[in-house]
Amino acid sequence: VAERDVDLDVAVERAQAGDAEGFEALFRACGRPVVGYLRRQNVSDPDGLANEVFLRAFRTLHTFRGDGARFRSWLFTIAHHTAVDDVRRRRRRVVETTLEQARHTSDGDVETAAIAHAGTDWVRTVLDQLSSDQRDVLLLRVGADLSVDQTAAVLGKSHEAVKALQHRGVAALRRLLAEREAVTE
Amino acid sequence: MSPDDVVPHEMNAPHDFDDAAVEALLNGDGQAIDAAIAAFVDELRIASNATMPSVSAELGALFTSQQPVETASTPPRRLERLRTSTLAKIAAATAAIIAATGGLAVANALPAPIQHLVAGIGIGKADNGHQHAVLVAETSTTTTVTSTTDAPPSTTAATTSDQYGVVAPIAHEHNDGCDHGIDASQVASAGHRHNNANNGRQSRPCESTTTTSLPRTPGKTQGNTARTEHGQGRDGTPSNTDAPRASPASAPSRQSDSHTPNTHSGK
Repeated sequence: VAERDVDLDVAVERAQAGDAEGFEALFRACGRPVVGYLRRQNVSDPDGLANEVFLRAFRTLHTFRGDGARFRSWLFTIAHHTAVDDVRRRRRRVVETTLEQARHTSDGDVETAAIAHAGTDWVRTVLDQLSSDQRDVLLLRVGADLSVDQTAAVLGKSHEAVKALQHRGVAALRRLLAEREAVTE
Repeated sequence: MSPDDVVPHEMNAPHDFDDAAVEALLNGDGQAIDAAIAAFVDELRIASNATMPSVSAELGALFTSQQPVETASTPPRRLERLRTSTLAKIAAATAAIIAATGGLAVANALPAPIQHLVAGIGIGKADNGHQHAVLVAETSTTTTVTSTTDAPPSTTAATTSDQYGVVAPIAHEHNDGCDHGIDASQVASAGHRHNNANNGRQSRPCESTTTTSLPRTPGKTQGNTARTEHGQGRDGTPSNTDAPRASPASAPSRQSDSHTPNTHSGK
């Protein structure tokens, strides 16, 4: 994994000292999993929100205390809250569209997006069928490569709760993948 | 949802995998445990790390050090700004209070005890009937007021004593009539002809001065009358400095001798 090639501890120290290269190293190390996490959370603008996450992190980096591993937890905590805020914002924003507008939209943006993500579409489909807590745990454990304790810190849950959620999540995956395989056959 | 965030109906359901199997599957080592789940996890890991996000202009500026970022040394600066801002607010509020109080004091619009207090520091007049302080305070500067009302007693006392020594023999002569009063008054006000008020008073008919004051203030009061006229004729210093030494009983008579009754009654 790319971020493992970077010494996060050093990058954090340099960034906290105001070194621009430290910020860039942190972005290179964590940019991919952050935008991947946001994308799997179905946010409206993954790239824009990823930039927002890093800007928030860098502007408050002087308040952060810890090493590179703790920085990853801290960064994904910001990313998680950003995603939750985005979903809530979109729920509140009810946009009325005419049927013609809906057809026009379906002919354009949605199909383009679907084609662009065709390779991982089935992953998204399966993830969307999990409960939000199970999805969060699996995304953080697999996509962000966090430990159980780090995931618990990000989600504000106990170690045992995260373990229970990942057990349920894996069990649900097994069931969903079996159903999917049955349908395709 | 239960406290452990487990769906209630799944609470007692048996787990498909034990802890070690789940950890192996999530770490990408679970091909032997469940091929489908292992494939899904691999796909999810690849998809999650597939693309770098595009860098916005704001973030890009940060990478090239074109945008200042708060470092660990920033909080003290912020505290300093906060402290400075607070001090500025306190100073502004204090200045506003002083300005408002000072304005009211000069306008003699404060309550009597406070007016008396601020008169002690040379602002406005004390509400004790001293016409001179009022005149000076309203027409001159605060510094002038201070020098007038708060002049050291020793200095004013010496001046009064010297003048008394000159004026008293003339005032105690057993001469009656208008000329006697004019003589005493001229000696008392000698060297202070610059005061227009005094000059104007000299041209008054002498009856207005002697007939009103002498019958009610015999003896020593006669000398006081002379001195009072002298004080009112120039800058009022003797009259002011005499005021605190006068007994409460004598104060009304001295006030009645004054030629500014309207000022006393008005305030």
